[in-house]
Amino acid sequence: MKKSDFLNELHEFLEIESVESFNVNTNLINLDEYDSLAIMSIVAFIDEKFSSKLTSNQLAGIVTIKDLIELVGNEKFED
Amino acid sequence: MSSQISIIATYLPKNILTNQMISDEFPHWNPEKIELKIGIKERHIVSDNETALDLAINACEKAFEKYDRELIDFVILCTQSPDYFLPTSACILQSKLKLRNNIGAFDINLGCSGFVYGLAIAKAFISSKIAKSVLLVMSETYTKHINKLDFANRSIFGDGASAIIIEECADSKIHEFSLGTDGTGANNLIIPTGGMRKKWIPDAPLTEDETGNKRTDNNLFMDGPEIFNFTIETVPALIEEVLLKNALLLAEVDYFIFHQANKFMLDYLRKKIKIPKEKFYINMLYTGNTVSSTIPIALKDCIENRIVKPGDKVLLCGFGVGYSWGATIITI
Repeated sequence: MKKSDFLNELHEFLEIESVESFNVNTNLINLDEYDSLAIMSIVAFIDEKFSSKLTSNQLAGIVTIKDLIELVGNEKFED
Repeated sequence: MSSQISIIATYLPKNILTNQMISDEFPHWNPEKIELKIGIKERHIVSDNETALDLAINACEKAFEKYDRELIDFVILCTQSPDYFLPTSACILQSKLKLRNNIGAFDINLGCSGFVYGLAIAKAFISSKIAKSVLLVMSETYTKHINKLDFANRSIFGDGASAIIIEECADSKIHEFSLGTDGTGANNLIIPTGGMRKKWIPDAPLTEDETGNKRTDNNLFMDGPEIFNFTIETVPALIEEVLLKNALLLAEVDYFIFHQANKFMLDYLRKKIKIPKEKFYINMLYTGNTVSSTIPIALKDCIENRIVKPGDKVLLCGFGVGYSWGATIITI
């Protein structure tokens, strides 16, 4: 998956309206929409796209989308 | 001896907590968003002096409007909100319902998997001739365990009870079971204090999670992401196993009723298991997640509204706290 597609699809999946688009430096935890439902959605999104499991501890360490990408593994992206 | 479900009755407490009421207390929560995502608009909440035993009595009395209580020869009550450590709530229930004395009664302490386990026990008791008519009661008041400032859990859980009568019959209508347990998940859905391991703490300190929900160790704690992970790992394999045990293909099942945890999780599970939308029940709009009663409430709705019809094969599946899970197939 390309990082740009990942950013767009995640933005859509989380139904984000407070920022127009995501970039790798977007601060997830400061988003208005970042609540327990958003966290559950991130877990589902990563499972669906990468068949990867994110633990609660890993999620607690996420601040930016870059952190999320690193958790999934940079090697899983084409660029 | 074979067994079947003869009666399903449900009871919800009168007080209602709406999404708007949650949003009034916690403006960050948008009522429409709660409804859209978790599929819940309202949930019923017990009053301070109302317990799971009270809800259970009401559900059973509704069941006895259509069934002779003298026939009941076993009572199984599933609850995690008993009136006392001891005596067993099922014993008190026997007396409150004026049931016969020459019958057995006990509680089972399970959450969202409880109905499937209760059904398994009832079937086993009937097939071994220990009982002929089992009253299986699920009653839960999780809201008593939830902190008023824990808006995530308050939006999900509702209180409620259900009473099911399982009887002996000629042709088996309750088929094979798959059950499972993984206690390594115990800490992910737990009330840490109040038992013997850690006593209830007066003036326990409030802690806040990263999304602003507050609770103490005396309250219900649910690690949402871990519970989600558990569910999406366990349930697809459970469905595969129970289909195999019943020698059925997914396409041969007429309808699927899963524990109504929340809409988002159910939608995700349905897609992952590849169950057609029209064969999959999602409706907790006016009840919320009532823990062990969600499947009986759903089953009653399906029968009354002809979503399922006599002869249909229906897969029932419960999963949650413990971790504990179970599934079976019944014929309507």
